[in-house]
This record gives sequence, structure tokens and C-alpha cells, in this order.
Amino acid sequence: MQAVYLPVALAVVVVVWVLIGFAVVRYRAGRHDTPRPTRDRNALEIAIATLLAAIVAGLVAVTFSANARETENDDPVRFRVEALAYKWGWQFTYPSLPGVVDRTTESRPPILHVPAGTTVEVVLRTQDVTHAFWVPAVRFKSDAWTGAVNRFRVVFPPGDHLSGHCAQYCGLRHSDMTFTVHAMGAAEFRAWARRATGRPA
Amino acid sequence: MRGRSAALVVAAWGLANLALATLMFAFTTDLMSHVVYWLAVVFVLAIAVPAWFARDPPRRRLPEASAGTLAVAVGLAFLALGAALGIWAVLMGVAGVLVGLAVLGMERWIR
Amino acid sequence: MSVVAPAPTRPPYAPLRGVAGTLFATDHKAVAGRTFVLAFVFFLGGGVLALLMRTELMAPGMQVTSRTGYDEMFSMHGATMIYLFVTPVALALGTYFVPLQVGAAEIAGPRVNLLGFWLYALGGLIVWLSWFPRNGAGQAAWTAEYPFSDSTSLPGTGMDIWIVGVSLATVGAILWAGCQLATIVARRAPGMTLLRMPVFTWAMLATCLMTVASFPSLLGAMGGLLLDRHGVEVFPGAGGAAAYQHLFWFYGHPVVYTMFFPFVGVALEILATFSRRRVFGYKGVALSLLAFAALSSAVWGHHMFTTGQVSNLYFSLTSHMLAVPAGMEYVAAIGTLIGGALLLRTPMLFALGFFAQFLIGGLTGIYVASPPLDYHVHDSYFVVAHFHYTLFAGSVFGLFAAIYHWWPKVTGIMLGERLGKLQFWLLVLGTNLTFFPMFLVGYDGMPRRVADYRASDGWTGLNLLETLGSYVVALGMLAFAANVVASWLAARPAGPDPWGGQTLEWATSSPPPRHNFDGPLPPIRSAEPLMDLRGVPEASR
Repeated sequence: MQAVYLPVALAVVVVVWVLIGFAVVRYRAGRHDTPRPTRDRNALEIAIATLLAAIVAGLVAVTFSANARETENDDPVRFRVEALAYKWGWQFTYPSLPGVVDRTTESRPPILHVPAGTTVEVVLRTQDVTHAFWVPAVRFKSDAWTGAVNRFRVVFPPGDHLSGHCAQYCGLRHSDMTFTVHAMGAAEFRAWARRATGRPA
Repeated sequence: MRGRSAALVVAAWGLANLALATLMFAFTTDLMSHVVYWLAVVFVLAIAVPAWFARDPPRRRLPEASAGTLAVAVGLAFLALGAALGIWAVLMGVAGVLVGLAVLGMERWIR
Repeated sequence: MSVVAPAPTRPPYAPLRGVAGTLFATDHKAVAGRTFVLAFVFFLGGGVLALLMRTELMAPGMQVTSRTGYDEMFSMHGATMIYLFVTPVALALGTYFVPLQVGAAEIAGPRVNLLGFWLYALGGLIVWLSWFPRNGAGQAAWTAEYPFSDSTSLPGTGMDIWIVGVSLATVGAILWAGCQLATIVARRAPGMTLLRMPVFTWAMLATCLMTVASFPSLLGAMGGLLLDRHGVEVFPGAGGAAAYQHLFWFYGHPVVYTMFFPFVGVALEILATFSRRRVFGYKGVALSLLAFAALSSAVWGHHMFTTGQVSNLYFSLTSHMLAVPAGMEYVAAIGTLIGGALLLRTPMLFALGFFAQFLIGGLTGIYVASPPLDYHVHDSYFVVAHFHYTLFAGSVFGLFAAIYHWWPKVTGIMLGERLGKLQFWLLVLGTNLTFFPMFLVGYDGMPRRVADYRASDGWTGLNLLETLGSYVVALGMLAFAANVVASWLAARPAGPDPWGGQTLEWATSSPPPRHNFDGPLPPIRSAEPLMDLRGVPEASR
């Protein structure tokens, strides 16, 4: 997606800036003292409008197909997280690991423990106002919407301290509502799960 | 200058919005999404109607100043604040608007 | 090469002066002038808030204010800039110049127009008075984020007063737009068909259509919010919170176009004037302005992509489509420059800067029109950069283009060229230094509306750069203030047409008389009547 949008944007900037720069240099009074009478070129304008529409259509196609890939994605969910946002912290629980809770404390933000490289589903709720769950490393965020449940699937890259933020302004400690994602390889994750639920190693 | 051509532009613009609002049905039937847009579409098309009949008014004196306008504005402000501050503001607002309308009437018709 | 206004045929008009004039005068020029001055007072207030915020964010830790203080600052910065500065000043350009450009003696509904000013002024005063009560200063951001803005999180009169102030100012804007629309509909001078209206007037037509169509939606949101705060369950549950956002953003997207179109109109006229030829692609400009305006009413849901409450696909489609009419306006701009005899005076520099810089804002707008891309950068500094490129690097540059272009007409004296160029270059440097790094720091993960960040986030360096940039912007604004004072002292008379203008406002004295034109108008046979008088061949359109 980036690979399409950024080059297109860059190309447009270059074309427009070069044309403006060219005009300012070539047609500056002193270099070109007699302005040419304006003659509209309807065919040219229609051609450019068509080109722009084609570029737009291409970008829309790229976006719509990326969206379709997401919604039609039926990769099995390997692990589920229940995330609860509140003023001002997070609580993560894991339905498959009863009793395990990662929650914001006075001294530090919570750690979200997930397996890396597999499909994790996050079930996101809020206790009060709208918040948002954002992990920049996965290039995705979702609002925690009042009175609703927003579910989404993410594949986390491996990492000990992937940063997470609340990305929806929610008052006094909005900027402090951070969390850390600890995305572990399969073996490490199993070991953590056993430790966390208190089962013997 | 008659308002006909401009009214056509207003109506055409309203119809462009109508087309875009209709297109939304292909994607969603969510009530609020449609309500806000259709209310606006109807409003714009409604504006085209008086625009069609508009014309340059006959020669008349243009106002130089209007104290009544300021009074109406202050009255409306208090009325609106009444929602936040209480009944006393509403009463002052009503008084202000009435006084302002009276002064406006004098400005307009007593010459 | 200017057209001399015909000799006056009526006794000299003595304008209403003093306190009575300031309070009661209905002349659209006086009303616009007052709006302009008041809007700049708010600009100063909003700008000081910006500098304070940037100083706070220069380094991790809270050095300047508390968290609540910061929340109040960014909320009031946004509210002031949008409701009380750019929107009013953009509309005020039309209030002053639409009647002149269409050859009318006065705006339609001058008392309604004046009412618009007073509702704006009182509304703005009330918004700023909301600093005082508890939970005031519209702490819920300029959008009054719901449900955070309800009486549970922000009890008390502070938020209520803010809501009332914003609503009054918005009613004012609607009234102004209505008067300009009526003027364009019914007060054009004989011979001025729609296709002979100046480009700026077309831009104002599109602006006013958007304004009257969408601003009432904000009144619905604000009215509903006020009721909701006083016990009436207007926005219950998930659907209610979504309803609030629909009502808000149905206004909230077109308003940013209201804050853009007037400047694109005047910038195109400046490009034409200082290229000394008629604008290229006039009909295309008129059509694309209308198309752009219609689309602007169809895209509001792109502010809600991450909520899960709207059809992301529809709003992504319509948002992408904006690129076509926007692109056609660039075609007109470039086509006007090519073949001209360009004079790089200050208005032209600001107009060129407007087009060059707005492009970055517009293209990043297309970027975030794609939900998968928006999911990452929404509510981050990337978006803050995007809209500051459109609103500041774009609209405010366009505003200064308009100011340097029309100051001689409004005041009768010229602004200085050297200070103008100094201001321009300071602003170019400062603006890009402040806002470009925000794309990077936002993409890296810095959320918006945060009072603080951690040293470990690694954003300190770029934030420092942004803060330094903001101080350069402040210097640029000081250069402008110096220019205003210096030129007022020098008082170099401008005459009716210092630039070789093309449209009717340049066919009258500077400043124009009370009823805009003394004596008959030039014949109107094209969109550039003064070019006709000079014998410049008509454009083949």
C-alpha cells in the first residue's frame, strides 16, 4: 500500500513543483515580457482530468482490494486477547488463560503478552469514554467504542518492548495511557503461559 | 439581474449531492449516515426555489447603521447562554430580542 | 497601466465614525473590516497558545504547564483557529469583495450580515470566557469529543458556555454565507452573467453553498450535546456516540473547505494578475470548484475510519475522488503561469507558496483516504502535519496573498515589499521546519493531543526542531506586524489599481466609496472587464 501511495504522491509533487519552477524561471518578466493571450485547451484539460481519474481509480482499487483481503481473511485465530480501556489505563486478559491479568499499575504500564508471527484477535472494549488501541509496530489502531465491541486481528512481529499507546484523546492522563507488547516466539510464549497460570513447568 | 441562472447552479449542486447520497445506499444502510446527508440535500434544493424568483430589488434606501441588529444579537446570545446559565439569562435574552426587533422595525419603516 | 475610476457624481459620503460606526455601521466593507480585525486578535490568541504548546513539547517532562493546562491549550488553539479565525476571515474576504466584484452597491441583507458579525463576536468572546469556569476552555478538543464531553467527564458550566459560544459564532458564519449567496444570485451588475463572474466570486459561491448546507449540522451536534449534558439522553450507547460524530463531521469536513476555497480563488486571481494574462481554464475552474464542493459533503466519514461505525469503503471512494477537481485547479494555476510575464511581488510569492505547499497537505489527504493506511496514522502527528499543511502552509499563506493583494484597495496605501518578502521567506522556513517533521514523528508512533512523551520514545530531537520552527513562524508574523506599522507611517498612496487588476474592484477608488462605485461601471463583456478596457484580447474559452 505504502509502495503505491508514496511514489504516486512523490511523483505528483515533483511534476507540479518542476512545472511551477519552470514557469517562474522561463516566464519571468525580464525574460518574457509579453504575456501570451490566454487560450483554453479543453481537450488537454479533459485529458488531464481523465488521467487523474484513472490514477484515483487505481488507488481506490488498491485500497479496496487490501480491504477485501482483510475482511475475507479467515486465517484461524491462534490466540485471543480481551483488552479493556479505561480512564486511564489498560487491562488485558486472556480467555484461554483464566486468572491471568495484565493491568496498568501506579508504577508502570501493563505488558501485553502475545505470540509473535501468528494471528492474534484483540477484543476491544471501553469502560467509559472512547479510547484507541495503537501499536505502531503493526501499523494499526482501533477505537475502543462506547457501548460496542471492536474486534480485530493482528500479527505481531517478535519484540520485547513494542510500544503501545492510547490514540484517542480521553482527558487528563491520555498521554500516560501506554502499554508494552511482549511478542514472543512459540516456545517462549508457552513457557510464559505456564508460569502465568501457575502450572508446573 | 434575475436569479434564474444562479438558481440552476444551486439546484445542479444540490442534485450532485443527491447523486452522491444515493451512491451511499450501495455501501451502507446506516440510518444516521443517510439522515445527515439527505437533510442537507433537501435544504439545498429548497434554497434553489427562492433563488429562482430572486431579482434585484427596486430602488430603495440602504441602511447606514443598525442598532437594532446589535440588540437582537445580544438578546440571542443571552437566550443561548440561558441554556447554560439559567432562566435569568433566557429572560434577558427575550427582552433583548424584543427590543432589538422593535428598533429594527423603526429603522426599516419609520423614515 | 491602471484604470482610473470615474469622477464622483454624488456629494462626498461621510462614513459613520467612532463608537457608533464600530457598533452599528452596516456597510459590508465596514463589517468585513471589523471581522478581519477581530479574527486577527483571535489569531494572535491561538498563535500564542501554539507557541506555548510547542515550548512544552520541546522536551520530555512538563515544564510550561500542567496536563490539564495543556489539554485546555490545544482545545482552545483548535477551536480558536477554526471557529474564530480562519473560517470568519475566509468568509470576510467574500463579505468585502463579492459585492465589489459583481458590481453591486451593497451586499444583500446588510443588517443580516451585520447580525452575523455580532453573533460571531459575541460567540468568540463567550468561547474565550469559558477559560474561567471549572472544566472550561472546551477541554474536549475543538471537536468536543463525545462521550468525553458529556457531563460525567466534564461537569459544570465551562463546557456549556464553550458550546454556546461556538454555536453563536457558527450561526454568524451561516448568515454571512447566506448574504453572499443572495448577492451572487440577485445583485450582479447588468452584463455579468455567471460565466463572467471573477474566479474569486465563483470560489465564494462554492464556499457559501458548502457553508449553508453543512454548518447547520454543527448546530445539531452542539444543541444535542448541550441537551445531553442537561439530562436528555440524546446520544445513547454506541449508535448515539456515532450519531454525534456524524452530525459533527458532516460539518467538520466542509468547514475545512470553507477555510480553503476563498484562498484558492484569490490565489488564482493573483496568479493571473501578476502573470498579466487572463486565468487559464476558467470554465474548468468553475466546474471543479462546484464538484470539489459537492464531494466535500460526501466524505465526512473518513474522520471515523477507526471507529468501526461507518462504511469505510464509501467514504474512502469519495475521499479519493477529491483528487480530480483539486488537480484541475492546479492545471488552471500552472496554465495561467505558463505564457505569462511574471512579476514576483509579495502577493505572487504568497500565492505560489500557497499552491506549492498546499499540495503536500492535499496529497497526504489522499494518503489517509485509504483506511488501511489511515489505521496507522489516524490520531497521530502525521494527521496534525497533514492538516497544518493544508490550513497553515496552505490557507494562511493564501490569506497573506489576499492581504498583500487587497490591502491597497481596502486601506488606500501600499504594504512594503521588502518586509513582505522577509515575512514570506521566514514563514516558508518556519512552516516547513515546524510541520514537516510531524509527518515523521507521527508515523513513528507519536499520538496527537498528548501533553508529554517519554525520552525513550526517541521523539525529542524532531520535537525540538518543530519548536524552533514555530519560533521562526512567530518571527515571520512579527515581520508582518512591522510591515503594517511601517507602511501606515509611510502612507504611500496606492491609487485605484496598483497591480494592473482585472476585475471590477480595481475600477473604483482605494478605499472604495460607501456605495462601492461612483459613476457607471466599465462594460462587462468577459470575466476580466479591466483587461477588455486595456485591449487585451479576450480569452478563447
